[in-house]
Amino acid sequence: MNHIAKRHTRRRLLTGIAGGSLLPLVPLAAQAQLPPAARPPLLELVPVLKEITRGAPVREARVKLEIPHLAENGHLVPLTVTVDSPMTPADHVRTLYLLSEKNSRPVIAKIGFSPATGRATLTTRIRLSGAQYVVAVAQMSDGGFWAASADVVVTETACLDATDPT
Amino acid sequence: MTVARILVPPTAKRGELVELRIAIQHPMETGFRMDNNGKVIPKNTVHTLLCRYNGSEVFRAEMGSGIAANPYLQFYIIAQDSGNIEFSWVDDRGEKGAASSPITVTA
Repeated sequence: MNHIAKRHTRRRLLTGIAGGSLLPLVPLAAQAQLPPAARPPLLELVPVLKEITRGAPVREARVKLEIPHLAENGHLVPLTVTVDSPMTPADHVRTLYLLSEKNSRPVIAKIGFSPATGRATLTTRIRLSGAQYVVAVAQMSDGGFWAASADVVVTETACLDATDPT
Repeated sequence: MTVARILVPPTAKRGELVELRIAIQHPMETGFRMDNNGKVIPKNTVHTLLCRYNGSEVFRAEMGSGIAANPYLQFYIIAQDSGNIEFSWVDDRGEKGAASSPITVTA
């Protein structure tokens, strides 16, 4: 009798501890069920952005980055960037940066537009070393920064030796 | 002198948005590759490309090893006056290239 009572007490004690320790986990579990906000902030994704913006805020709008989500060949990934801008002398895209999360050189290209280009659209083909995020950042004539990002899965990475026919 | 193919429409209406394309024949060496003897192939990319329209710069691209071999760029300009659209570029070895095409702008 004494023995059984002891066990009950211990069980209650254990469930108490277990319940108590689980409580703080509940908010975490709830967070995990939220829609994925998996991508880290842009500044963590492409640290080189700090040197470009020098502390100015970067808003994620107005830039459209079209790139295949699945790129079979990292040597040649087509991409089109369009920045929503009237491209007038008073309001135009000054510079467009193409940045890579994982390439050895994070700045893929720096494009200078002018009002004479009429439309801030660029199509090119880039190299990607592995699956990663690509970020397009536009600096407007007023100095403001706008950005877009896209994650690309690369099945064959742009790799490094000459045995490779490309 | 490197070789390129450019596409500039021969005619356009004034104020029309004109699509330009250029593909330069260039290996865009990353500087990370090695040859079959294990020697590093030095980095050699077309680092600057300029587009001038009747002498004034309208578009500029600064590129690196992140741009695929045989760099291809497609962008727009507004047709203003008849004249010449010139592309010029230079790579890390200092080799320069240029290509141009006339455009006739009608009212």
